[in-house]
Amino acid sequence: MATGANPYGTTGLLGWIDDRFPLSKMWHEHVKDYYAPKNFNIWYIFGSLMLVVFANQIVTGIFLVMHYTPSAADAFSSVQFIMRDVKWGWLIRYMHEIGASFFFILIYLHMYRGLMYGSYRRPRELVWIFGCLIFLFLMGEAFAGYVLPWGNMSYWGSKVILSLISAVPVYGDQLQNWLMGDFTPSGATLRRLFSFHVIALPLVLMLLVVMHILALHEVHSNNPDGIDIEEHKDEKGHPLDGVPFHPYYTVKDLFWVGVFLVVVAAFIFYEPTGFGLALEHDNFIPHDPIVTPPEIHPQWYFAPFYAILRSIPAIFDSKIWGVLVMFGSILLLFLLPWLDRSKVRSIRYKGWMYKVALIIFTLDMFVLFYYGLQPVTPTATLITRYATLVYYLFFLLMPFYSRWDRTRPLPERVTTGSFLSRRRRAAGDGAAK
Amino acid sequence: MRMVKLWTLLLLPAAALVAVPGLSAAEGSLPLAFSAAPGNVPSVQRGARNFMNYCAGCHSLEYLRYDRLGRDNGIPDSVLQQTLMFQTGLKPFDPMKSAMTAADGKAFFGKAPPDLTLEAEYKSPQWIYNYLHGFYLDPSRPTGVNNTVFKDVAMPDVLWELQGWQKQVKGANGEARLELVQPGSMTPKEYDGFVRDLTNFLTYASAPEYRTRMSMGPWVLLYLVILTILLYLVKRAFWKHVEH
Repeated sequence: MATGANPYGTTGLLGWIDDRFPLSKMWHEHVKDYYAPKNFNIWYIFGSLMLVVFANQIVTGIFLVMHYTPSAADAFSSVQFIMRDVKWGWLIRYMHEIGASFFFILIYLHMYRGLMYGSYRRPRELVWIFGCLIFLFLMGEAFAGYVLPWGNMSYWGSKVILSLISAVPVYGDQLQNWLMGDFTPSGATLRRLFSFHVIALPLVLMLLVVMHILALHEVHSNNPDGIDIEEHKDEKGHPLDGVPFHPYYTVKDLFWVGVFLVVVAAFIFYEPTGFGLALEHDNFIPHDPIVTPPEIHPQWYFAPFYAILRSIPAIFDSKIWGVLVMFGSILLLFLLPWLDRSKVRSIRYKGWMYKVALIIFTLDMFVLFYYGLQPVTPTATLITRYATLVYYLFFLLMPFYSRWDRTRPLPERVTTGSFLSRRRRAAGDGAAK
Repeated sequence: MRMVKLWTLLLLPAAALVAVPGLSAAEGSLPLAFSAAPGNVPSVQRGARNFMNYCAGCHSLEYLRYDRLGRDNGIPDSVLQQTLMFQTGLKPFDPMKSAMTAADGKAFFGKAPPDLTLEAEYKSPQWIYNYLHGFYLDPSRPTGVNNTVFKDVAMPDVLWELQGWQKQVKGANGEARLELVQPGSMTPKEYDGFVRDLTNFLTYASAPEYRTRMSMGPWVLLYLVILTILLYLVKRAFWKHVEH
């Protein structure tokens, strides 16, 4: 007789499964009885949307791999074969390519929610770290994916990025050749990037996503007020300000998935190249080792990091400094839980210092995004240098301004309603929002 | 030092106006406006005829098959064979490859004439339109011609018989413009129609699924909008009793 199995006492086929596998247990623990704060706003939708996009990338990817040839000679023409000769191939390809760009729009918005509401604060540091790892590996996945069509931008973009490896002192050149599988990006590089993109990185990403969600469910979700809903429970032990994920957030997420699909479909059918950003014009010609595109840059979602990379000059003839500053800017994200020393989690209760810092950081990101896609000029380099400095200072000064900031008193229970209604309520009773 | 910083900040909006993604910095600007119409079937049909008669000798469309062109544009196989398929032994499902090999093209012109299937996506239909209007006499070039949007192009002015010859002259404001110095067999209006058809055809060739996409799009969006409205009603029904 199994001792702990089937705690819900289900019968029939479900009971047979539950006697042998924690199916109902997982359903209850993670969906039906997972209590999430009832005051989630629009900023809380992006995680679920990313699950949808991830599923889309896998499914469309499976069909693309049926027809794609990962060889230098045939990769480009195999993509055209998919676009023209495979039934609905054009749709599958556009879904995959638009999905990739939307994955990054969503992850940036998702991370921004974290910045605003202190989702990375204790005890959710691991949730944040897993998330940063997902971001890092997603960038690798997208880089590998963009090389696969083997267009001219695929080739030259990969050449520039892979050449950064040679900046490693002493062993740089050997390391670069070992990773590329050749002395210059070639079929060997294409085949291994295909392997990373199709199996290695998706497996790592799936594992990390599972860990990210498990870590979240272990400590329960944060909310826009940054307070702990577990502090006020009803007689059944359920948070007074919480609602079970199913059905409340399943139906709410489904609605927003609908809205999201409308936007994505509009792009797929009416603007499949994403205004020349998702599918770049220079990638519509096959790779040509002799002809460089007028401007070599990576995909739009890498633009801020590319701007940071380019802004650092080659000191002592080495480009390692730009590489270090660029990777440093990503690694800073990992440290966020320990840089934020504020007494409160959410920006709603932080003082003017943090709000100003976040606004400056946001504008700075837009500047970095813009200049990452522009040609290098002296003015652009100057601006991106300042922008890189501002980016670093946002994080490095945070232990100070977050501590000095005067925070507002936290509410006992979560606040609900729109921004304006909350403001009116706060002005009305004069008490803390 | 502070003034320098302020200046660079003020340059931001100016910089935003200047940069246009997708346009090559090496090429000239595009003086002539053009709106591609790959959905215009008669125009694409004429463009296919124009291409096969004037361009296919050197330029391939290696990703487009004859029968796909026929199916999408209402051209039966028999008409296809008679009017558009000029090489012997071709089957309708064959790709539209040029008879000129890349090696020969390089030997004749210094650079092999590129495949044009994706040219409209690579450069833009506006660029192709301006290119075909932009040839002018230039004695310094081996071909005797140059082009306003493609400096020192290796391609000769293939369409000179239709368009005539143009010369670059200085306009009233000192800007360079083109003037017809010797008329061709077509009037400027007829030649413009020829170029429009050819550009529409190349736009079609770079994205043959365009019409399907455009016709499906509204239905997909309609379905999704209705679905989203229904999903909203479900959400509202559940959340009605929760203070949120």
